[in-house]
Amino acid sequence: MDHRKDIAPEIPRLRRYARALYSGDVAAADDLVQDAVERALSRLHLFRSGSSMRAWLLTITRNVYVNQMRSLSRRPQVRELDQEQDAALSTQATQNDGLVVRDLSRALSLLPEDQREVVLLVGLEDLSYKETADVLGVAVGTVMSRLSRGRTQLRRLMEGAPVPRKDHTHLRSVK
Amino acid sequence: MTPLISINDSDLNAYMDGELDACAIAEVEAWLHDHPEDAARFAAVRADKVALHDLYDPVLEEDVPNEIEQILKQPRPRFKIPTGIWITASVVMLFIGVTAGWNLRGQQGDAPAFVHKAFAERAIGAHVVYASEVRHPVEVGADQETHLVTWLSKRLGTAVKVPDLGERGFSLIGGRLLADESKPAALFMFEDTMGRRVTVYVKAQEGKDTTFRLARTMEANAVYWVNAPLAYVLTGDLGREELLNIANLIYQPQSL
Repeated sequence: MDHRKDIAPEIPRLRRYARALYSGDVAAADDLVQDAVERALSRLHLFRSGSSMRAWLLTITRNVYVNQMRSLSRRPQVRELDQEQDAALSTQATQNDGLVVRDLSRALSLLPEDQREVVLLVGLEDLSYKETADVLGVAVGTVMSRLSRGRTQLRRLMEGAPVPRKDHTHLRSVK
Repeated sequence: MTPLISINDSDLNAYMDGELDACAIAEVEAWLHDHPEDAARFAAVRADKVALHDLYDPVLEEDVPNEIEQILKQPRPRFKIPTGIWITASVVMLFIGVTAGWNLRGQQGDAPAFVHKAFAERAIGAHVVYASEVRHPVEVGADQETHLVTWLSKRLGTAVKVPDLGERGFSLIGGRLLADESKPAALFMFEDTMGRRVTVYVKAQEGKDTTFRLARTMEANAVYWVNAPLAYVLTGDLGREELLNIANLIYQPQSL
């Protein structure tokens, strides 16, 4: 059975997820989607009929991302510096839409990766806790605790809490 | 109604995300009713979730880039090709003009190849052409480094520095001026004691800085990035790790 045609309808959602992972960097996000789709095509024979194409593609996208981040773990933190400056200009703003949005993007980028990916998969991609656990290869309880910590931390950052040092060491590829 | 056990953050999240059954929903709603502080906190977290959608949902309405659509249109393999080879094969197609005729060496792994960046492609081409040149690899040698820098800075219209790669065992051979799509570009070449060469291809580039991105052909790996006012491509027949370590030497952090 040809599942190839089932990929295209999911591309916009993969792009949304990738865009959030890369804090709005369009080029980096689309590079990620491109790589993920190529990998998905090369592994299409591994896709189980009847399972969720969306979750499968998100799993691949996430794993490609983890590999990219791991190999680039010493990359310059340029985006975050930019966002620091943005944040300095908009710390007191909480009601104006544009500034709130800008703050959220920054706050998200400052979450530990393991919390951020759960916040995005559940909060943006609307995966169930079970689906999220499958994508990440962890237990549902782990998803819930990371979600809880992630959302709490996000709220703190949005309320102007001091910025913690971002830690990439929690990244684990599951496949 | 007072629940027997207190409601914690995970319960509130599960409520927000539609993970609870009717009975549990009633318990949470009763709790929120009786605990205004929790209710306020819950409202703020839920507002974050809505804001997340407001921020990224517009992506769903964008046109899908051509590069991605093209991948799906490529003919599928008729027989099963091992993972990695197929990815490599698509890369080969895109780099065919540059790589034709060269020996294919096994290149596999999970490294992404950011193949649609024409800039990196041209730089890799320049690396391949000039790094293999024995007699005249550069126009201006390292013995005239000051002149080289002055000259190339002038031609590029912005200050260019020769990166110091000594820490990684590479010393400057020299540089040359190149045309990058009718604009001037500079190529610096370095060599280590084993005779391995890396090149740094630089052109003037306004706009936003980017992260490091990887490109690969059969002949070389490249890392490219924008650090305004310059864009860089570091190319070499080295492993990714080593190349990224060198890229980190070149990269000039913004003032903190």
